[in-house]
Amino acid sequence: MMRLIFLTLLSLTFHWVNSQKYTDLRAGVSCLNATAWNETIRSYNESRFWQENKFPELKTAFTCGLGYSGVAGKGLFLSPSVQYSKFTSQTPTDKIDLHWVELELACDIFPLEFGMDSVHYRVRPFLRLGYAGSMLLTRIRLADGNAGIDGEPYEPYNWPYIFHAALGLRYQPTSVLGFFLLLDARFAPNARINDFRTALLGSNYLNSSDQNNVRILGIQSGITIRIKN
Amino acid sequence: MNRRILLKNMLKGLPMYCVAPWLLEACAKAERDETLGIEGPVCIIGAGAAGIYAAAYLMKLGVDVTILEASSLAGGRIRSQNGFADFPAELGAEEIHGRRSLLYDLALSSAQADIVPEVGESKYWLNNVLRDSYFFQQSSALQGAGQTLLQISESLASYEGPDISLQEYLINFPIEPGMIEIANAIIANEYGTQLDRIGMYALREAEQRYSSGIDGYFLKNRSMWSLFETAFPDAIAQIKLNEPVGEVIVRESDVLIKTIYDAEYFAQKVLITVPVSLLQQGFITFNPSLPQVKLDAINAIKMDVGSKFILRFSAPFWDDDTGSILGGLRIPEYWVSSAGKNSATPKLTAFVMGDRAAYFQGMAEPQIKAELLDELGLMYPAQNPSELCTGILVQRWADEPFIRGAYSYPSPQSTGMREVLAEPIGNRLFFAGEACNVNGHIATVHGAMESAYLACKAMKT
Repeated sequence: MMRLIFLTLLSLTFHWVNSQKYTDLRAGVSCLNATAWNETIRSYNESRFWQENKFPELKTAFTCGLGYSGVAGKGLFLSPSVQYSKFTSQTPTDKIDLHWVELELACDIFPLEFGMDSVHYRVRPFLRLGYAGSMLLTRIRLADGNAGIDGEPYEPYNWPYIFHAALGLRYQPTSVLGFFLLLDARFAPNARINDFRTALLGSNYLNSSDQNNVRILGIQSGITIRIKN
Repeated sequence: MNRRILLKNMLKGLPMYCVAPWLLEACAKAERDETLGIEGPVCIIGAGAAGIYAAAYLMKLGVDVTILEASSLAGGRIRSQNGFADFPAELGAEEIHGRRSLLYDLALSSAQADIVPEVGESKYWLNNVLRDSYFFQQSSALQGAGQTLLQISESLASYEGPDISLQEYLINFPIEPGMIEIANAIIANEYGTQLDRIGMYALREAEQRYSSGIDGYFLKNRSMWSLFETAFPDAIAQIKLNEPVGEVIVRESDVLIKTIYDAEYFAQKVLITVPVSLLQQGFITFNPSLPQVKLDAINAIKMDVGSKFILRFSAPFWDDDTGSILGGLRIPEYWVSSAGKNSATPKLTAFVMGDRAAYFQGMAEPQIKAELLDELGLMYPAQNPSELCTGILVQRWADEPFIRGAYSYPSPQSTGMREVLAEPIGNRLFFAGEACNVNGHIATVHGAMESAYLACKAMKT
């Protein structure tokens, strides 16, 4: 939680200091590699082998985000953004949802030889490096109702932090409107879902852990709109 | 481009060469070989919940399985009997413990309409008077004692102190003897023994790990065994009855299993699901003999005498809201086993463990019936239960030659021993059953199934 507050304050600070401002809207898909969580799902499927409907592993998500960037130096932009991803594993009767909201502060580095305002009609590569605080909400709905532990509803929320690196291409056909493509990689070390195994399997010992290093690979495209001062 | 520039550009990309495969793995589709190298045939000793579940699991993976059952009936401690009541009378396991369990999910798959939650309230036999929970609320002294008992029960998972028995622990609290009897009924008898045989460390371990839910369920008009019959008919077809295994010989290339009638079976792997009491008493000999740590674990995990007596009545003499009667001096717990079922004839199940169960060993059925009705007569003097009783069904698990007890309990010095018991030996011998459960789900059907699942996973090389 403290990370989110810190990043929010930091983003507000940058809102005031820059002179070139852009906002961007993006959407795309993300692939998740969360070994332990998927091992829990596999354990569920394997141990309930008589069930015809198997949970697929948590793999892909629809991702969307809203960002803002302002120049902080020559070829250097600071970009606070908020992003939402929803990873789902679903059978006809059961469903696992991971709602992942990130608040990120990223630094976009453009090659120095291009001046910011002289890039119309040019495709510009850039590197994005970021750090995000995030909130991970997990919901499990099983055939007999929502999962619960000892009579209590299972509604865990966790606060993993995320390192983010991305390669982007930006195309700016007009001084106002631009397009971009982003190939991004995210890494959430030791991300945890409290009692995930207990809620799904009813046991903490059928597989390894509720905690793992999560890797997310995604591709997103979007538009940027320059905000005139 | 000269060689130097080429080399320089390649070096620039070096970090990406290292990182890219790691990143791309995120999108890799998981390819899993389902059998994962389990070599068959697999021989399963024991056709109880663990054995049947393991057989079905392995057969689903295409493994050749044989189940050897010592007795003439399959089911082990989930056997039931038809004919005594107008519903299958559960001779062993009766309750589904929690909603987050393999057993609940099995019931949900094949008998969702038959799952009913525990019904009725508990009544307490306290100082020779039958009380209900309302009385506890009215009496400040009893309310305090009840609260103390509740706090003790809830704090077992966080116990810090010496490894004493549960009885020694309880005498530190200001609880009157009547309440101790109730503690015996709801904790020790439930765990399959009596207060002085439960070790606090082992109890703490079980309580800490237990995670399948606190709510209890029953099956309305069918038996627990029928769930397995419905879900795993192919596995049940593999059972060979009347094949008590006497010797297991692990050889270099396979395992030879000999029954006490000199029949021989060969397998690549053997899963032993017999009650721990049979291993303690050396019913099965192993060649080479089991490692000393395994023998220590087998001997540390205790199994007590335990019995169920089902009484049939022409009419109920208990209050409509009665679920169970706790604290009896002969029988720690009675429950209304016809409650929630489509039954025309009311029934009470008497559930007794430890020395009190041993008291009934060797006793003739009419005498058992008389003893039980005598106690029920004290509890319900105005209703005269003796005249209403029309029959008794006796199940003494210690008398079963291939079971020899109720189920394992958290005995002193058994902390951590279940992991040792469940540990495979040399990728040939595997162990499962409720006593092998390392999840705190000991003495439960779903605990036996979980241990079987872990044993089967361990077979995957």
